[in-house]
Amino acid sequence: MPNHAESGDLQRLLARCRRGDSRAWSELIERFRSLVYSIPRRMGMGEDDAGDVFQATFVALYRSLHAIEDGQALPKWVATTAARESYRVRRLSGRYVTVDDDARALDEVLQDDEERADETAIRASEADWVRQGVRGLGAQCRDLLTALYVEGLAYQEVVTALGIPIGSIGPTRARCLEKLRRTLEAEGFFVG
Amino acid sequence: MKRQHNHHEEPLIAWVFDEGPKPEAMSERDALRSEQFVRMASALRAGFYDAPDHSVERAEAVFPVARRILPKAFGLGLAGARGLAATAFQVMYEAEDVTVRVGYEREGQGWRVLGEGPAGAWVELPDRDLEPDEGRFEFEAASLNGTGFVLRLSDREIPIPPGSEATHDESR
Repeated sequence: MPNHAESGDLQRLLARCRRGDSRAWSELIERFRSLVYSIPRRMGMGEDDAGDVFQATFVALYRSLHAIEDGQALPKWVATTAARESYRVRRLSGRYVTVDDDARALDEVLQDDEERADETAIRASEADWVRQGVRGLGAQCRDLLTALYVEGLAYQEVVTALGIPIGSIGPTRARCLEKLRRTLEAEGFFVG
Repeated sequence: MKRQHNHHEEPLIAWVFDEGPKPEAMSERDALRSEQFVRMASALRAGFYDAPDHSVERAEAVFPVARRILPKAFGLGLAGARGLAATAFQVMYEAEDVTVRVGYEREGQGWRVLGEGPAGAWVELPDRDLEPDEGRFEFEAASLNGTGFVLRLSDREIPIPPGSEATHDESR
């Protein structure tokens, strides 16, 4: 279950979309913009194919607006749809089919792709969950963890970017990661 | 309560996040925490890519053209107050270039809905369709919550929310 506060927001966004509110639809796209687009890109797909996956995912979401009852389930639903679409686009592109794949029955290839897609979706939704968790931390922790793990800055670059003394980066990072761990634990991130 | 400093904390985190030396003699609790940190580290290291703006615009266009369904004006027809005891009221909805006027009147236990939209539009109710006469239409609903409908134009459809949303009263 993702961030508790966000679950309510997603539920409200879904309800507004069902009523035809285009601003809610734009907010929904913005919320899942990185989650969806990152899935095909992490699989090595180019911008064009990733753009097709992005479009297909939101078309599917639009068509399912009335079927998705639970806002909490939305990140996983979106990630699963994007991952399955990524494998479909990759399979159809033919550029990634190996000789082994050619020799196997099509349904076997499809079954494997579906399993891989589900694993990809789990990893992607976990990454998204943790990213949302970082965003929910206080400014100091949010900025530091974003600098270190989203932007990939080295300690010396963090000193310049955030003005933190180099000697306090380690202890602050430890405190922030522990805070994030406890938040995620309370949200059920580590269950299962 | 201020959290006590744990002197194992930094070595544990350095081990997981920086490939530092494995801490000696980890407690059961720290072993569990280290597993949790490993999952966090894996998630934190996943690269994120922002979709380009043109992809976002294309996804936004998935939503039907007729989308901005917000009441433009609200008026009371008879005695009553908004959200409380209104027995008749009117709402003007505006969806981009289309204006739809809808009047709601309490009638017996239910509500009568009188509307006017663009000529040529059809009205879709949950159980039937109506063909408006020069844009004018009328139907009855058992409750104010049941007064929503879809106005179907030749190139799009416009969902009109039930009158209860305009009055912010979903109890009726």
